[in-house]
Amino acid sequence: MGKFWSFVFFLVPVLGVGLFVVAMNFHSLPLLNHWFPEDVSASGHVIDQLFMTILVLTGVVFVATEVCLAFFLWRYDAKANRDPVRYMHGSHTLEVVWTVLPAATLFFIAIYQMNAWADAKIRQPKDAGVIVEVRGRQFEWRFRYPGPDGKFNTPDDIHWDTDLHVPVDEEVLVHLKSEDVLHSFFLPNMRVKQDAVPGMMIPVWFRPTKIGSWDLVCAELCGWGHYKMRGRITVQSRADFDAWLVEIANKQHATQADATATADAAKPAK
Amino acid sequence: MRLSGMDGKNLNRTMTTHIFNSRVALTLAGLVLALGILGCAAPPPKFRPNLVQAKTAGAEKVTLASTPEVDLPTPDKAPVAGGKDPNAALEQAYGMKLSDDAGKAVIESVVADKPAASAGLMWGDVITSINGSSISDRPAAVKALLEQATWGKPMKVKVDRQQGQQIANLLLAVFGTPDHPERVSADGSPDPTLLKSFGFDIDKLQVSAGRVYSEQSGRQHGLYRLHCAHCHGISGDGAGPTAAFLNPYPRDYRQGKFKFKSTLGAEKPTHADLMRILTDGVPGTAMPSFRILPENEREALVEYVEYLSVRGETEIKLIDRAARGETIPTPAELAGGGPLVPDAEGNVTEPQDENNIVAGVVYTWRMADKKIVAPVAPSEEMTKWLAGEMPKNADGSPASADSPAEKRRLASLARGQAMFYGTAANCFSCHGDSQLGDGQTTDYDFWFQWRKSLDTKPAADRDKVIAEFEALGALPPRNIKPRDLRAGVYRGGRRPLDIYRRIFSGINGTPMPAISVLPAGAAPDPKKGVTTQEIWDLVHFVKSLPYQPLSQPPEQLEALREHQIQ
Repeated sequence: MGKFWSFVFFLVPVLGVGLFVVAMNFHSLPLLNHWFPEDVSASGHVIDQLFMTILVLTGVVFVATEVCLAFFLWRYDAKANRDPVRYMHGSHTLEVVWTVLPAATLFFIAIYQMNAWADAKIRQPKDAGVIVEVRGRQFEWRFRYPGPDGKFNTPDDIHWDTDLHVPVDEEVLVHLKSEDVLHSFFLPNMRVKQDAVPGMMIPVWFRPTKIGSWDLVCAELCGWGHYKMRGRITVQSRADFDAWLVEIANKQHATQADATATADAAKPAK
Repeated sequence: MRLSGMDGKNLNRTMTTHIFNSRVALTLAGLVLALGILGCAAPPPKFRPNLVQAKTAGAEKVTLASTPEVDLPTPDKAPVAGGKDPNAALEQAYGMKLSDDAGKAVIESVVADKPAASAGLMWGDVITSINGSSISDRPAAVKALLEQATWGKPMKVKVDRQQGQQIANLLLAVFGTPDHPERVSADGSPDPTLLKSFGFDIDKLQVSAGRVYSEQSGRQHGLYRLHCAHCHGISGDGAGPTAAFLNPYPRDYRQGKFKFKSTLGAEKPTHADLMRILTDGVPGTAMPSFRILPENEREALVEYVEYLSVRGETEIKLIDRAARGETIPTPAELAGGGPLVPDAEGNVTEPQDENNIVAGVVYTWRMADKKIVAPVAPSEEMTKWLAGEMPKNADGSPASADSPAEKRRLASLARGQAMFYGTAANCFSCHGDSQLGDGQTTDYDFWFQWRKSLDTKPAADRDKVIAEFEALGALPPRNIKPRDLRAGVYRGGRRPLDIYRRIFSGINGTPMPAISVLPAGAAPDPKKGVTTQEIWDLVHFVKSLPYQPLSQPPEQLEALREHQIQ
């Protein structure tokens, strides 16, 4: 049985590496689309690069560990191995190596990602082309644009939901809030994911680089309807975005019935 | 390492067996079970009858089943009509016909003002005994009624009346089931012509109804179960599995009442109104926006909601009639009165026969487009204020409070505020002195009218009756809360148009009344009512509330209210 199990354990690194190779190279095929979605943001490649670096680092360690495991199972199988048991006390050199090496690796990762983290979470853009308030609630996304005066909480705020419109090639600054429980604002194609926390306003920013529509989903289990909390981000040219804002503002300020309404229903006093 | 008393080989085998016995076997069993559950068709959903309505209509008739015994008068002499079918003789003597349903003697029809009808017999009654001797089948009933009758003397007829079942059969005969929204004709094939004649789009109904699956082309079916049923219930009863967690509760379509719409008072919403609710959602409630669903799917869902609403309202009307002891219509009567497809001008003919219940309900839906509230146009200045544009000086800076433009704006707000505290609109009594929705908060809306009627009962009885209602599927009752007008959340939409309509026609099914509007040309009288143009001042005031300092000191409010009321 020992030989069999060493073979099974050897399959783990082989299949594990194979899985990643297939996912990376054949992600355009149906049922195999499990690699990164299309990156349409200015800084998404930084995140992807970090992911790849860490994947390679952990991948090498993973393969080495699994191969060792399989080898030991095979080499010291109780059925085949008649060598006497050999006891050994600790090795100072070995312990130093397996402490220093991971510590150095972790230290490298910590330094290596600092700039990416600062860009994503600390260096808030000063030149945001659009500021939009995003509020998560059970179970939908609601948005608010500041309107012509550029300020929130004034009567000309423009309200919208579910389909977040933003202009292309401009910094989008999101004021992220939650109306009830924890949500997570996740734009897979922008490589943006940030929890929305009740009682807090958390700034989130990204710069879309391509016109089109992509998913906006909730990435934090927020209740029974979490799976329904799907939205969309629509990236438009500046001109289209401005025209769209004016259009929904006009609709929001409508005082007259739509064209279909004809009856003038005045009624007498009671 | 070696364990004492057990060599590696044994350990190995023990481990393997152990793993295989528990983990693998359990996992395999779980998989098989899960596949089995998925594979077996789930049992068809039960379309729960509206027992809450039945109890509301008359508690003692909850099951709508009874076994009344009536005195059936007989004519002075035997009927002359006869022949092979005894129905001619029965009709002449008693004004009723008998049919054979699975061997039982079932009254097929009764003629108004004839002995059977005046004795209180109804179609669908199963005759169980006559003059004390039990009747097992139709020949026995015919024999007892025609051959063993003592002419001129009334006879005791006992019947088994299952009106709950009759109503279910009636609904089936007109609407099919919510899963198969078309009636089934005698040979078992689906027959959509009847629903079509009422103006329903069968394709839209079918794509919304039934189980969830998608065609190879990507066309999604079972839209209602996919998106709506878990809250609104499979029959539109507003009591799906997640309903109890929500506040406010999901809408029960079966009452045929909808709150946020463009039409007057109790009129039905238009198709566009329901589309708007589905697309924008209802902010402040659990109803989300379905904006990113394709338009054809939203259209199909709205059509299906109308179907569920018409079906449910028909059921309620039937239950009310049965509970009042009135005859319920036959399937042919119930389905009559059509067709109701609007003509070029959008008009349909109003059905006159009160037995044509379906046509009567459908008519209210088809006429909704004619009842839309179209507000008077506000002044140009008001339009700007409502859009949040404040008066400005020539250089673009905000106008000061003593500039004429700003004075006019403040005057409009003051008029709106006066109306808020005035007798004609009387807003403050529910929405509260400081507009926080903390005025009158103990009322109930239409969907909890059964609970409201218990207010006069002693508390102990009340709890008992509430428990009875809940056992029949009613959700735990909740008071209707007036809106907090300072929250800036508008359930029916934030357009000035929406708020005008809420004020002008009230909110259907809730204690929010329509404002009293003075007839055109009448002398202004703030106690009697307002003009339509003045409603815009009130809209302006309401829209400004979320942006005002929270509230004024109470003593000033008190003084203000007294001043306005006098």
